[in-house]
Amino acid sequence: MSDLFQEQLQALRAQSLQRKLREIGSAQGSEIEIVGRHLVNFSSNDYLGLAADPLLRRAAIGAIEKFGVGAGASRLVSGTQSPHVALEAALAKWKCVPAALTFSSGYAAAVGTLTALASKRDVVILDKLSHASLIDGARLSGATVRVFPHNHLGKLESHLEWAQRELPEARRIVVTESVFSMDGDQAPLGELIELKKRFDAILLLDEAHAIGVLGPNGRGLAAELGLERQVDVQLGTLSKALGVSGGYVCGSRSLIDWLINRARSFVFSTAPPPALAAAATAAIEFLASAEGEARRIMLWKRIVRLGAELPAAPEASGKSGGAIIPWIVGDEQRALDLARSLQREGFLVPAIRYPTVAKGAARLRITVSAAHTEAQIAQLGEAMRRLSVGDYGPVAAERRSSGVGT
Amino acid sequence: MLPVTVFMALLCIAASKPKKHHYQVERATAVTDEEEQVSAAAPAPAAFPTPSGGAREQNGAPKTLAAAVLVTDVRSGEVLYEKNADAPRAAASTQKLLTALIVAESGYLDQSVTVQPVDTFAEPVRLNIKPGEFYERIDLLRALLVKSPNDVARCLARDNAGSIEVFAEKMNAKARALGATHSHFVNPNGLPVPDQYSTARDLSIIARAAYANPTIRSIVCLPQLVFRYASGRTRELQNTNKVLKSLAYCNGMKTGYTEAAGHCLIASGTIPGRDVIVVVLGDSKAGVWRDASALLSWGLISM
Ligand SMILES: Cc1ncc(COP(=O)(O)O)c(C=O)c1O
Repeated sequence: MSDLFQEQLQALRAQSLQRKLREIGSAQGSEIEIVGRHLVNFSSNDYLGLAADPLLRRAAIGAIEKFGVGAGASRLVSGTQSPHVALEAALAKWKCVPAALTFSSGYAAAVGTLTALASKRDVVILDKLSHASLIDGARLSGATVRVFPHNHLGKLESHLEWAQRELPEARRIVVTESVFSMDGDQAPLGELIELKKRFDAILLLDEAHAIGVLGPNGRGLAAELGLERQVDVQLGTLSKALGVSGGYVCGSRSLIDWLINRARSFVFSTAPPPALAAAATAAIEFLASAEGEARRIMLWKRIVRLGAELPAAPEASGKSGGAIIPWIVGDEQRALDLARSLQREGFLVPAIRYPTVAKGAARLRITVSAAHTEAQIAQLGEAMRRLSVGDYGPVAAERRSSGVGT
Repeated sequence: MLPVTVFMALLCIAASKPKKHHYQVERATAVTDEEEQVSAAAPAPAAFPTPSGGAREQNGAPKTLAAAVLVTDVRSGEVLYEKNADAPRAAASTQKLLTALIVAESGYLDQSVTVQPVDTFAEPVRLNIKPGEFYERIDLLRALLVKSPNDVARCLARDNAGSIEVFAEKMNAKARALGATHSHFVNPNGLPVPDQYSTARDLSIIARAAYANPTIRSIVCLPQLVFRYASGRTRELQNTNKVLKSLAYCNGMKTGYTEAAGHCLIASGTIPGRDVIVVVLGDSKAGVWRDASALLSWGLISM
């Protein structure tokens, strides 16, 4: 048994693809502690700095005092406690939808929802860069799975045409994200909705990285564009900007009732701890408040500040549409070296490589939080400008030589 | 002010002190407190980076080598920074925002236009639409704002007013009505002709009106566009605005270049609660993106 995976692990190591856990000895925040060192953290999805916020801590502690820690049973048996009900009501109200359902994670929400919506007679069409949870859900549903190149409306259209022609009885489900997790860019939601209407398809939108960042009161990209009512299944997570843990689905009453009956990751799993539901409710109420909106503005000020600080990246870097700034380096080793140098200087900025992103598209994935100070961002910018000198010929050279713009 | 390196060193010392209070409940929320802590330890706020190695104007705006600049808060109309904003200058293709505004406000955008031979008598950049072809106005408007083709500008103008000359009169009337009274327009595309000029201030007024138009707003933010020719052939048009493609918070608007005008860019940006429009005229090829980016970032978070 002990040797069973040695060879495979060895192969991973040989390609420098083996990944390891590292222990964080502090709460989440703009600074975290790793093996006794304090690093400024540009790697978390805690975009609003809520993960360790006293407001959420108090809500969780209050719920623990009253409800204890474990939920004891699955939601359908006897695990639905008052905090779960309150959270789903708060979610539905905040997102302006008839109903909402929460899951133990965003991953579970995606897998449970897709397997409940699609069967082997159906067709699921995904954006190539969709998150693993969406891909796994689509596969597990047994539906015919089609993938279109990232944000490529023409290819999506031809998949829809194909499905309509070849499998006219099938349910057609289009799956994409509003802000993509590794590229940080947005889906062309307006055009996607036109297409899904034209082909009478269901649109499932994962707002994981847009919640708390985009739209009035952080309600996401669909809300920002005023298109909420046209997205059939609004999926999201409580684990990122909301600072807690769990996933959710928002939509029609009948969609939610169906999921309660058929989403296996919901049905066959113990309800999440009531304290997490209470903390998530506090996070949603915070986002819906004026203070929450002020925090979101703070996040955007930090995003702008970083935009001003970073050395001009090559055009290929693409447009970020939220708090995730991909800084594309290309070469895998160069990305790793940059990340290591940054860590030596006190910044935690992850290098993302193949297979998470395409070969030759290695990058630093910088995530900004409202909890960052201006000074922390200025320091990162200074380090990036200095360390990336030479990466981008003319721009870098110009900066180095005179310091005077053209 | 302290040299940046000394300042950074001070910050590093401040940051490397062991911080036990990570575990204390009081700390995490205090996004603003944290900021005060840092600024209390630091001699000056972290300098806003600028394209010209830190040089800034009196009000903190990044210094640029552009010939004329105007930065406006869209909601209040307040001018945040200006430089030679009233100097008459060639606007090049940035004046297509006015062309687009007139076309968008005239409506019936889903109706067809037939291309006439005169429409195609334009200098590059052209889309090469052919006489006799039909296009929906909205598709031409999208192409106009994303890729700036001059044949498309002529076609839309002629379709809107009957002739380029009459359209130019409409441009001047519209500009005057908006309060942009120091401009004179002769053609819809900004190709150089004598006696055609505008100012950074006037272009900012026009850009603000265009920004308020939902149709234009939804087009200028497109990083690319698939244009379908009457023949059925498609062509992918990349937006000429590089700032749009690099900054999350840039949401438009229009590029311009002629030899006389230099490199120009009107760039808009938004964060929750604030919208800013930057007009940069007469800049260098490389400078225009960096200057507009720096001014836009500064405009969005200054104050
Ligand atoms: C796009 C997307 N969807 C879903 C998830 C899963 O959410 P969770 O972490 O709550 O399981 C993630 C990240 O983890 C994600 O990036």
